[in-house]
Amino acid sequence: MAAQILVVDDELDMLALLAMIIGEKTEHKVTTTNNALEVPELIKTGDYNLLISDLKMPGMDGVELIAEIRKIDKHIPILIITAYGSVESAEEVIRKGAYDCITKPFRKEQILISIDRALEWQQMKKELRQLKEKTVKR
Amino acid sequence: MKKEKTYFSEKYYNIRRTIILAGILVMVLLVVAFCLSMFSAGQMKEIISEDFNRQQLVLAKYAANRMENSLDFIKRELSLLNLSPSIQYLEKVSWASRMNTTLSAVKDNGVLEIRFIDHKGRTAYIVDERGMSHVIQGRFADTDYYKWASLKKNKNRIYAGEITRENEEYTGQLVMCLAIATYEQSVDEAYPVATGNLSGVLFFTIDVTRLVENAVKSIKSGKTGYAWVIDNKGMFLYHPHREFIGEDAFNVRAMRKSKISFSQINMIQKEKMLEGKEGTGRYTSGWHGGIETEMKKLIAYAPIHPRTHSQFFWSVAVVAPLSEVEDAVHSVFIRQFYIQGSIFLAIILGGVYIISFERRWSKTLEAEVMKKTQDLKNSLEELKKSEEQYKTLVESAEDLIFTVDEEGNILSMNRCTANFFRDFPDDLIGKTFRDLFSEESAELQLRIIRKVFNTEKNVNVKYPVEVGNREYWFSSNFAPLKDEEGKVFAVLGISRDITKGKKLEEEQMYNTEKLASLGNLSAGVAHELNNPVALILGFSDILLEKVEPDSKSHEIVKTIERQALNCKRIVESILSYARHPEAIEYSADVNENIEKVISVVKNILVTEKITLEKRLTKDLPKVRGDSGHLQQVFMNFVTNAFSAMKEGGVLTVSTNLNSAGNKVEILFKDTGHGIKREYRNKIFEAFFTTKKVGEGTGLGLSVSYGIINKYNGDISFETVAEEEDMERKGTTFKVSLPVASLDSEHQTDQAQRLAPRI
Repeated sequence: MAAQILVVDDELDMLALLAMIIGEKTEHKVTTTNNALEVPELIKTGDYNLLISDLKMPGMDGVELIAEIRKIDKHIPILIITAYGSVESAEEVIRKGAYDCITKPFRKEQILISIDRALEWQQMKKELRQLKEKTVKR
Repeated sequence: MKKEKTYFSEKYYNIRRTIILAGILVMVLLVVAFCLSMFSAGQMKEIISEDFNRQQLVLAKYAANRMENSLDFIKRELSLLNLSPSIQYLEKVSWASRMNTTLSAVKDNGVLEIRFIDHKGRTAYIVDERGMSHVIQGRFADTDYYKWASLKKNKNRIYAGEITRENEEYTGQLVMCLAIATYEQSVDEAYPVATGNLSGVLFFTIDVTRLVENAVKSIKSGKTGYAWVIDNKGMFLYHPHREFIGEDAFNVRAMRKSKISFSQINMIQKEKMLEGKEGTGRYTSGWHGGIETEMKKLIAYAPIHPRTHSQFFWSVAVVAPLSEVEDAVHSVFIRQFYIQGSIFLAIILGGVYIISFERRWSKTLEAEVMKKTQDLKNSLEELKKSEEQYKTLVESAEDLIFTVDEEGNILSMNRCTANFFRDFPDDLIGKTFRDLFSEESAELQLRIIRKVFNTEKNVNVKYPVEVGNREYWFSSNFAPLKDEEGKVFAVLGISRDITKGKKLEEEQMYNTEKLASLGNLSAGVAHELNNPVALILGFSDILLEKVEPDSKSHEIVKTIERQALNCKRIVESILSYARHPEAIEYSADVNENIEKVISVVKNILVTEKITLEKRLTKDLPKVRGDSGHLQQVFMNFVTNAFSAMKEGGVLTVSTNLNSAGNKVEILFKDTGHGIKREYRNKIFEAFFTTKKVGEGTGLGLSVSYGIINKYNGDISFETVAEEEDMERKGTTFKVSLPVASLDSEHQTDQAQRLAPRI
């Protein structure tokens, strides 16, 4: 199942790398942007199944971004990729609402597994919601 | 010193002279007391002698009285008999019995016989001492007493004859006769009319010795004193020495003892006794009782004057040896003498003892003084020496040493102080801190000085001072100086110029800060590096899939990937080195973690030909720290040891609790090549390594140091490089970690419970 993935990172090379990995290894459609500020707008207008974001970006950092996104879409899973790999930072972003946190440098398999699991989780949540809605309707 | 000695000896001699004077005074007083007692004893002897003699006089007078009475009695009896008609008329039947009656009455008074001579002087009618009466015829008219009685004027008078030894009937005996003229004047039945005619002469013949003896024999003066009697011619009528009786008292003594002068007694006899006087006296004699020796005698004498017959008198003397009195006095005196002597002796001995004790004490004192003087001398010398030493010490000290009063006036200082303030032209003594330091610096120090004055306690302080527009740092100790009464009179200051050190310290601080910021910076850099490393690795990964696996390009990309991984490792090391202390501390079991590390490297031990010796002390307390961190550190030491023993060797790992019981010590001892001298200061520095490029990052020890330091532990090492000693080469690293407190152990338990949830 092809999903819509939005990748945001201030580093264009990183965007290229992630786009290449996802594009080559999966069927998912990747949209990239190096401007974190336009992400909420993109989320509003587009139909994305997953957001992959860098933690430290000019203009808006990952944690702020999570908060902003959650205002728009409560259910979209967010993968945070960070260069500040520590337990503390991982804890913080997950508490703020991220689905997972991957530290740089990463192996491409890490990214791919995490994407799969996030999408699966997103799918399951969606189905659960629909089932709940159906039950309520009945 | 000499003066003092003279003073002491003068004082000593003064004391000694006083003691000797006192001793002499006491002796003189004692002698005077002795003489006085002797004198009083003499006086007492005199008084008692006089008293004794007075008593003797009483005795003499008593004896005289008795004799007078005795004589009076005889005369009375004579007169009485003369009145008897039996005698007057010479009655044949009764004269003898009448005479016997009288004789028996006066016999005891020494009357030997009674005789009556008729008026013609031819017939004598006698009753003798045996009581026999007989009549003898003779020519009695020529006798003195007959002639005397014939005279009419002698009627009723009594005639006393001479005392003689020449009596016809009583030869050898001292006899005397008392006679009375007998007239026919009484009447009785046979002769109713008295004729008044001379009838004859009646007389008694008397044994004088017996008469006197009766009266005086019983006289005893004192113990041995006796009485003797002389008549008016100086003849002994009675004397206990019988041979004297009847002898001339003026000659008989000299005859017995010619060597002794009896002038005293002769004078008494002549001038007193024969003059009929009574009195007392003393004289020299040659005997007394059975004792034959020259002696003084006391004499008391009294005259015998018969009342009825005053024409003659005798004299009685009572004598006793003076020694009798003196002996009595003497014994008292001797007793007194002994008592006085004892007291005297006791005083003398006491004095001698006290003086000798005092002398001994003086000598001890003198010796003590000498010793003390010597000690004082020695201690003075020592003091001088020590003072000299201290002076040298103070003068050559590198510190500023000075004394100041409460106002900050400098009282004294050492050379260093003078040198420090050498820009000041004048002498510093008497100057105040205000003259030497800036206003602010002077006030600061004066405050400290006043504090020392008030609290009397040392003050140790570091502070900046300004001297002539230049700033210095002083490390000073201000100590109170107390006088003998314990009052602070000055403050001793010892100041060290620590300006250089202070600058160094500041520099160090700056370096530390620089390092810290560098650490932060490197952490930031490391994180930033993660991005490019991630990209390199990511693209390499993708590229590796795109190139031919055995192609040259594949190899190149592989190398790129490998080096990117190196970069990754370096970044990780830098991050763990620079990482800030984490909030949570765990406790860990040292032995358990060592075992884990060893189990990992077990295979390497075999391949690298390394023998492992474990000496782990059992039941060690847990230490502060995270097990993962500790394993990382231990692994680092183990791998370092392996690197040092490329040709094999022995690695000894031991653990133990330190002596204080508050730290666990872990030792890693290898027999490797050791650490070269020039590297020893650098081994904990980040990026320092002796390993080839690619083999080590140079972060192992610095990271370990960071970890151990974080847990308040310590790392130290001892090393002998192979260049120094091939035999003893090797390095020992010692890690010591504080024992975990109960709190931190509790935290560990909690952390372990929480762990699965993360």
